[in-house]
Amino acid sequence: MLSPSARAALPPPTRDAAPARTARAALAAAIGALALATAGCSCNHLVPFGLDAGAPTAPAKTPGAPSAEAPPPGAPSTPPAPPAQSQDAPKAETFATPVPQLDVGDAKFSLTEGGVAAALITDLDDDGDQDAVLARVLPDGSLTLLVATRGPDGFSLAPLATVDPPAPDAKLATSTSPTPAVAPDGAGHPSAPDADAPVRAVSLGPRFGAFVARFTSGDEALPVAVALRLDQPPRVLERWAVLPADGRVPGAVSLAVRGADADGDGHVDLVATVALAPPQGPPSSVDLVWLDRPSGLSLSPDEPEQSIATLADQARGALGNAPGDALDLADRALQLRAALCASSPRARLQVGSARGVRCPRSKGAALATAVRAAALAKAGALLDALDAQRALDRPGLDVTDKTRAVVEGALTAAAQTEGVGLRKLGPLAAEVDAPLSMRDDDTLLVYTSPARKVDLATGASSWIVRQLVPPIHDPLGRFTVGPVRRGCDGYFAPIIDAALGPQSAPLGHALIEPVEPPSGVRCPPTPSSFAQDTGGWSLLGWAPQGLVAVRGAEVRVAPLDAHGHAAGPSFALRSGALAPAPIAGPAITPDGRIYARALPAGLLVQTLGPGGGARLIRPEGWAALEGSVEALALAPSGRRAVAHKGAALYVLDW
Amino acid sequence: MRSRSRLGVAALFALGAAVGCAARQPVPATPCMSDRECRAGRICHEGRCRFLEVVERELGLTPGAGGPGGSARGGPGSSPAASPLGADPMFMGDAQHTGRSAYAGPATRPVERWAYPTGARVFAAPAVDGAGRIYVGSLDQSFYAISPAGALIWRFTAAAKVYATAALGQGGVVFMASEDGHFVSLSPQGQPRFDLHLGDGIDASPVVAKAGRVFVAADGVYAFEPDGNALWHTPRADHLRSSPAVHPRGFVAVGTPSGKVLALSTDDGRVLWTTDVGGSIDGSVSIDDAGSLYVGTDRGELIALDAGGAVRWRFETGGDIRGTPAITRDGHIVVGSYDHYVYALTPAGAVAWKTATWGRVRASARVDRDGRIYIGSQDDHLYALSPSGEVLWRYDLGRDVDSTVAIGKDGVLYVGADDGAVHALGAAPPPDHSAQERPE
Repeated sequence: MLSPSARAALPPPTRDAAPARTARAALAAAIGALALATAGCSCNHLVPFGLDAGAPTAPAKTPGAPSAEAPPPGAPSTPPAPPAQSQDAPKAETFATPVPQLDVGDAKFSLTEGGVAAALITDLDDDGDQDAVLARVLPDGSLTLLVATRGPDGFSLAPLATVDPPAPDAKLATSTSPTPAVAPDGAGHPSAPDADAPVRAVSLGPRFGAFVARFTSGDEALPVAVALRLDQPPRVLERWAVLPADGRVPGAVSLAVRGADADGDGHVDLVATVALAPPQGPPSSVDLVWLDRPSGLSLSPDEPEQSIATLADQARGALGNAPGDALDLADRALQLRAALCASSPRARLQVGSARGVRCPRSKGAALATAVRAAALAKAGALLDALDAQRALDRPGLDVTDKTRAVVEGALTAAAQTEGVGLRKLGPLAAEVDAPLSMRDDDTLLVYTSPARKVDLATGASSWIVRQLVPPIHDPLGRFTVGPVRRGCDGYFAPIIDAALGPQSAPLGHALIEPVEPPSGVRCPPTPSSFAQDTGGWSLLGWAPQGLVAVRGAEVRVAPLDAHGHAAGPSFALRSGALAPAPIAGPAITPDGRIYARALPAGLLVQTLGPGGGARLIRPEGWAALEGSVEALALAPSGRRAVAHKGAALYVLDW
Repeated sequence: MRSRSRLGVAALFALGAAVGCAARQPVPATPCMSDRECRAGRICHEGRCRFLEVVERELGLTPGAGGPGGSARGGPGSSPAASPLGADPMFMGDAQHTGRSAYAGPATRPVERWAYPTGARVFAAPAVDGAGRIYVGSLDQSFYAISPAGALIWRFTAAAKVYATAALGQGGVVFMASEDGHFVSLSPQGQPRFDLHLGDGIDASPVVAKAGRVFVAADGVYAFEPDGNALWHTPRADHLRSSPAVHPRGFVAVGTPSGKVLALSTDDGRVLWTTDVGGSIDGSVSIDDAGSLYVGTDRGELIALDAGGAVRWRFETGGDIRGTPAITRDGHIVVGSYDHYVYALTPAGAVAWKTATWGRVRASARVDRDGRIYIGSQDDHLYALSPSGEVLWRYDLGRDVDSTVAIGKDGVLYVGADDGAVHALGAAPPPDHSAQERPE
């Protein structure tokens, strides 16, 4: 990682500067040599060496100073002319255990401190002599990149960059492989088997190379790769690092870098292959390509979207016959996106100083989300399917009607239709926006003004002269609630005097779910963008303990005392737990065991408590009924409901 | 003469009518939360201001035997007095954990009146208020108020398992605690009054002492006023599972997992003495009428201490003692052991009797008005023993019975079991002869 002061010391780029896009993209501009910024760096500048006539491998006169082969007797004293500019790819050297001395062409180079873990050897300055960019490991385990340039007086050493670990507690891995011997004649030595080497040098192509360092944090491997352009001076083109899984997408992430002409323009591009191996299931990998452009490196927009879309399409294809496989494939697609994209707070890849790469609105991720929801519906996990369906509304997804239809179709297919009765409730026309509740299985209350009571058996209705307490009320009927809203503290329901009605000023509020405002948003005052945001919460009812609300599979309790004031923090009901009771609410049974919610696909009936589960009730002809469900009442038995759909009231029995 | 006798009779009638009218006219009872809200010498009983004599008469108490906030303690041989806080208002019936009840349970094998199912094991003992309502927590993370007929009155959802027995305070308020460290008070209608998060999980039952002060063990011992105002906290590093017992000399006694019995001043929580008894203490300390303390340990010992903390005697059983010792009217100490036996020891520490069950005995014993002992075993049975240890009956509840019995005013036993239900066991009703010999 380039430190801020080192970055500030960079000379101006030699190519046209790329327009500033992101911090990562800015790095792609040509950079020169960097000053070392870390304290404690004891690398040597301009280390002289002594010529040792007749002994090409003789040690330098200064301890630790590099040595070079002596010219043969009788050779001209003038230095040879530099050869023509070399287009060869650098030679990559990797050592399982860092070595103090390195063969660079026909000379030797020694370090006075630390060891060379890997090197890229090439003629940086086109003078006919081989130079090197080294990855040096110091005794404290720190890793720095150095440039060793051979001149007439020997090698000069200059710092290039410090490679910081990707996590505070990460350390450079050590290898258990045997150390390859340095050939006494200086003719070079075979590359170490590099899979376990702490640092690998990778030759990417003419003038391009990379180092891949293997950091570890506990049992977790966290590779870091640095790509270099091997000009004089060499410069760092890009840095990639794998971040720890803690709080992010789980699984092992591997990183490999190679050079390839991805766009066929004759220039080598950088390809970073990132593979994610989740705790369960097969790995997924994607090639992120940085195209070499005159203005600098440019991330190709094709990935990771193509890989995500491929997985999503495979998931869609498997949905019909193998929903389990479809779910796995969809999860892989979504995990890949979450691990790589900057929009994900759980991204595992760091590029330069930024977390994740910029990803466009994703059709693939939208399809994967829809397939996920559909697969869950097919498996009978209806609440999880609804949660997954709700995820389609998240930003960053390019959702089409076709995508939504995937979920709707699955939910419709999962619905129970047998034994479900549906009848229109006599000639009574439904009132707009009037809540409903059921006093008993045969009596419907319609909260018009004045209210009406309907006998479900006969359809006969009568007026109720006295004022009814609203369907959701405290045990003594003094308070009711308004709809859930979002405030600076989170999602809340206003507490209202039941006698004065919903238009009266709230007496207080019950915090259903605490949520911090998004970063950068000033609150208070409550932003206007919060006005329509209910967080997906629906109020189920009011029990002696307080308010109960539901969103997807989550049920939360907001404790309230006898005065309607908060009596403790809200909490989520754990799976298998029962809601407080008795509870006053239109769509929950008084014992708090069964509640119902209207969905486009039908009526979701959820039984709480041990052994509970969700059913989707969908009578024949339900889809043909016009309109959406405006109000719903559940009978105390939990086996009958009345729905205001479109312009009519309907009784459903199951 | 005749006119004078008629006049006398009329006067008598008038007097009788006046007395009858006066007797029939109800005294308006105003709602209340504590005795302080009541005037004219009345006490706050079950949420209403009532004359003490009337309450005592209803409860079968000797007039003047007890006052508000505490139960009368007679000497050996006397009947235990009812608590104004309810029929069985806290763990082991009172703040000294004697286990004694003012009511008589079934002498013969009972019938099950009802079983209210919860979602998981019921480890806590039920508490019963003066109206017969039953309050009990379950490991399904809910706390229940159940009617005497076995119907749900209300349910409070905790965020963690409820191991502790609830305690009932003045005016019917409920104090309960959950494994995640929440100490909660609820109104008789189940609405939260306060919810305090203590420093550690709460397994031990809160205790309500005189004047309504509540003691709770968690990461040490806490003292609260009935409105939740904290009075003091004496911290301990270890997690206490022992319900505090209130000693008449002004201290609370509690056992620790590290094998100590602590005595803390009820005024300020100062440690008055500490006695190392040598074994981890899971149950609670109990206190007899003479002020001696008794406690069991996981070394299988039942230990007697005096009010100063000195060990008077030790008795070793063959297995862990995890329950709380009960004290009978004649001063015997009754406790179950993991060696499957129920023991009764004399105040001097000699074995009066021991009765075998077929399983480990984790529950604590309860002693009814007539000296009968009720205790559950992990052989799935609830046992009724005579004062001399004879098995009167045993009832198969199908699963381990680790919960401690509560006894209602009507003699119905309430107990939880590992089947997840709260069981109500009462005397079998007399045979119904009313349908016979119907005239044509």
